Amino acid sequence: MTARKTDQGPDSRPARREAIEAAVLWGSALVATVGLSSWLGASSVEPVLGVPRWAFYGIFGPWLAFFGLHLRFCLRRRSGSPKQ
Amino acid sequence: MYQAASSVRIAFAVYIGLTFLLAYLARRRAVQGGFLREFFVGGRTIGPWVLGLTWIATAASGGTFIGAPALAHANGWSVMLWISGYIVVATTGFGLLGRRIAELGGRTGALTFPDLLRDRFDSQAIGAISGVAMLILHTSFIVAQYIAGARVLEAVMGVPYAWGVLGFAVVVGLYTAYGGFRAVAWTDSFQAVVMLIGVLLTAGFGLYRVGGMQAVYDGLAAQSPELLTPTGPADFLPLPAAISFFFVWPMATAGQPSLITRFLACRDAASLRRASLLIGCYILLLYPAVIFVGILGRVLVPELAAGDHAMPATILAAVPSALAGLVLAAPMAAIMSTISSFLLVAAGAIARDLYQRNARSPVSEGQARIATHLAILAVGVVAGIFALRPPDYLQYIVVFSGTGLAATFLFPTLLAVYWTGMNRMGCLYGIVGGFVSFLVQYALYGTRSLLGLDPFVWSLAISAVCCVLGSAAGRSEPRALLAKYFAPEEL
Repeated sequence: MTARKTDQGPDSRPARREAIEAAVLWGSALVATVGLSSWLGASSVEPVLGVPRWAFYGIFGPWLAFFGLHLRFCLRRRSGSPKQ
Repeated sequence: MYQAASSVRIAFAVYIGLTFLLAYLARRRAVQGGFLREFFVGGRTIGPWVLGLTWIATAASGGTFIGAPALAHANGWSVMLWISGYIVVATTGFGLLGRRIAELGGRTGALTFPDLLRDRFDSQAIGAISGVAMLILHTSFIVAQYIAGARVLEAVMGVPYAWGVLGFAVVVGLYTAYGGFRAVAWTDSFQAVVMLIGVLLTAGFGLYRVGGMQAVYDGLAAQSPELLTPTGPADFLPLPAAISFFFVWPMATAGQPSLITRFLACRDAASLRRASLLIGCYILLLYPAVIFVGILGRVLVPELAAGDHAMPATILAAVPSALAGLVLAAPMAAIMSTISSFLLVAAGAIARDLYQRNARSPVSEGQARIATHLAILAVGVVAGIFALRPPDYLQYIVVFSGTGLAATFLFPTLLAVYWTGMNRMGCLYGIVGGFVSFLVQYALYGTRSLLGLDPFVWSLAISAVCCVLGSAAGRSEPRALLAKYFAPEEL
C-alpha cells in the first residue's frame, strides 16, 4: 500500500476480525461440503442433471452458498478501514 | 502424440510473442526510484484487476491445469470433492493475511516475505532461515511446472521432453529477469484470462462432443461405477483425505509466500477487496470446469500415453483444430505464470534475503541488479536439471512443495502479524517445527500420516504449538519494535 511510514503501528484488530471471520467461513464450508458429500455419497450416486447426487448437493450447493457469503465478506463496509 | 494441427504451433508462437510484448510494456511503465522496490513489488502501485489476476494466475499452476485433470481422468467425480476446498480459497487467501500484510508492507517498507519476518523480530537468522526454506520449496515447485510444460509440448507437438524443459526455462527466465514484478503481474493477468477462456471452451466443446451431462454420467458408469462415488476407485479419497484436502487448498494458498508477497505490492485497501471479489468469481468459474475437463476426458479419451496428458489430449479431442492452439495456451499460461512468480520469489530469497541484507558493506543498485539476474539464472538452471527426471503424476510434487511452504510459514506469519506476544524464538521454533515435521512425515508415512490425514495437517498444528511454546520460553520483543507493528492500545 502507499501509506506513509509513521511512528505508530497500524491497529491489527480490524484485520484480525476479518481473519477470524474467514476462518469461521472455512470451518463451516469444511463441515458442510465434506459432511454432506460423504453422507449423500454413502447411499447413492444417482444423477441429478447428469451429476452424481452427492456432488450436486454436497459440492455445488455449498459452493454457491459460500460464494454468496464471500461476496458479502468483500462488499461489506469494514469498520476501521484505512482511508482510501 | 495425439493429433496437433500446425495452427497449434502458430497460436503458441503468437501467445509467446504477446507475453513478451506485455513484459516490454510493463517495463516501460516502471516507476523510477529504487531497483529492488520496483523489481520485487512493482513500486507498490498494483491495482485490483492486476492484483487479483496475478494472485490467481500464480495460485493456479501446472498442477491445476495438468495434474488435477489427470487425477480426475483417473479417479472421476471424487476429484471434485478433493478440490472442493477451493470453495473458500478466495476468502481465506485474502481474509487471513491480505489486509494486514498490505498495511504492514506500506509501513515497514518490506519488499519480500522474509523481510516481513526478519524486521518484525529484528533477526537476521529468521530472514536467512526463511530465505533458505523458501528457496528449496519454491525451486521444487518450479521443477513441477517445468515438468508440466514439457509434458504439454511433448503431448501436443512432439517436442522432446528435455527440449521442452529448456524452452520453458529460457522463455520464462528471460521475461521475468527483464521486467521483474510488474512484468510478471501484467503477463499473469493476460495468462489468467487465457486460462479461463481455454478451460471454459474445452468444457463446452467437450460436453457438446460427448452429448450432454447424462452422456458423461453414463460413459463413466459404463467404465466403472466407482468413478461416480465420492471416494473414487481404489479408495482414492477416504474421509480423512477429503478432510485433509479441505485444509490443504485454503491453508496452503493462504500461507504461500509468493501469494503473500502480492499483498506487499497492493496499492490500497479498496484494491484488495475488489481483487478478492474478482477472485471469488474467477475460482467459481475455473476450478469446477478444470476438474470437469478431466472427467470428460475419461469418456472422450479413455486411454492415455501418460497420466499427465489428460488435459492436452482432451483439448485435442474436443476442441475444433482451428481453436485448439488458443485453448492449449491455457495450460501453458498457468504454468508460465506460476514459474515467473516463483522465480521472482526464489531470486528474491537469494539476492535480497541472503545476499543484500547480510552483506557487510552496502550493496549498490547495480550490484543488486546483477545479483537478482544471476539468482534467476541459477534457480532456473537448478530446477531444469531436476525436471529432467519426472515422476508419473506431477500433482504429487505440487502438493508436496505447496503444502510444505504453508506448513512452514502460515502460523509463524499469522502470529507474527496479529499477536504481540509472539517473539523471535517462537517464530524460529514455528518455522523449523513446521518444516522438519513435514519432511519427517513425508519420509516416514508418504502422503497419509497419522489417522490417515495429510502430513500438512499435522505440521500446521505442530508449527502452531511450536510458535506458542517458543514464545513462552523466549523474551518478549522490545516495546519500541512492537510499536512499529501494533497500535499503542494493543501493547
